[in-house]
Amino acid sequence: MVRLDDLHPDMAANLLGLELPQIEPAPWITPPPLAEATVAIVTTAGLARRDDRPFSPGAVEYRLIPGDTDPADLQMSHFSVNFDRSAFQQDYNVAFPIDRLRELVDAGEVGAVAPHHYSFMGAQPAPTRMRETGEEVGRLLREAGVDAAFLTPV
Amino acid sequence: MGALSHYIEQAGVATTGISLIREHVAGMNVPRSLWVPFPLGRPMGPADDAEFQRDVLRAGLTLLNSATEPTVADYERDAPMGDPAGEWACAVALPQPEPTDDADALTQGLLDEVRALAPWYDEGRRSRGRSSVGASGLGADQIELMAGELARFAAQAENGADEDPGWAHPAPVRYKFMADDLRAFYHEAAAAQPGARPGSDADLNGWVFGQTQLGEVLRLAADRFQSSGDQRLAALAIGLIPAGYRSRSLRTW
Repeated sequence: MVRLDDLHPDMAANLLGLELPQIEPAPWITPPPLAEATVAIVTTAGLARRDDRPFSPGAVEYRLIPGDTDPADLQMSHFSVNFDRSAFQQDYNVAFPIDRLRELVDAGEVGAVAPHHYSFMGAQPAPTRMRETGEEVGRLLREAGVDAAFLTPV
Repeated sequence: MGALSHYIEQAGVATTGISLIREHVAGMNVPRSLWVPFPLGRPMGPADDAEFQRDVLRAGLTLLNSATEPTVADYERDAPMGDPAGEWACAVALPQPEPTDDADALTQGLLDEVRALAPWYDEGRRSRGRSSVGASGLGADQIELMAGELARFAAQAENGADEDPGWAHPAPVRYKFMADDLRAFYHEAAAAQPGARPGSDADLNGWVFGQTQLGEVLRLAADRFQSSGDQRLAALAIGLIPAGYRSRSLRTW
């Protein structure tokens, strides 16, 4: 188990020293019951399909992960080296829990898996630079009939 | 992560998800978030533990219907990360790296390591059915080319390849991704070897940066970036070596 106190002190100081943008929240959303909801995964693990463009340092655009993507073809091109990469190397579900989401759908706990998922590169020193692409992903999810996004960082 | 949650909700799509740094989501009034006490890089907990990962996912998704105001819930269950007892060591005996900045010696030392690890990398790829090598644009079948290019860059020598073999990034950014690919190659080779337990992140970093020629090459490459006098290049140095394994002169982030 690792908490902030367990990180390298330089890392912990840096993470705690980041300026947190204050963003006006959207009106509160009440999604349908989970068993009826369509859910997408949005990750900031810097994942892209092997035949797509990898992320470049500082990139704030997104990569599309179609639902029929073989997760074995997902490639990580995150700039940061300050997280445990061996986890994703061993099991993509650690950062992109697509198999787990499908299992909850099969069990009737979640309504449906969205047709597309999205990936960004996190560890952005100025996260407000993601506003344009983040809002665009929100619109694209809504247009696809997605009720909720499950966000995973690394 | 917190900013993205707000931006997606602007379109009317509800968000929930994992937080690894509780202070960040709590300080940004994120609608719904599940803080987990897991290491960075493992938002869903342990690898290859479907039951545990399902439980984490379920706990995060449940917030969609239970939260009625901005909520940071705590996931209290520790992730089983294997038995930490006993020393981890790479089962393949690699030669002790000799400190050098000679391009030929560095290249040869790195190639010797890559060739020694290749059978175990291949076995890992076979058993997992996938590999994470490839961020540079080249695959593991060209790992020796990557090793040579990175070693010559680290030794401040001219690079040998005239033709572009398919790099995904221009120089010098491509050296960061060669470094990532080589580390992934080493990690995946180590993970495939027999042993009492898999290496932890600290085990693997301690091995790469304390006992291998690759660690020496990455330090020299980071030094080259940092001493360039160019801020953009200096920033690349921190993308080569994790905090805790860098020379003191390197920035943290």
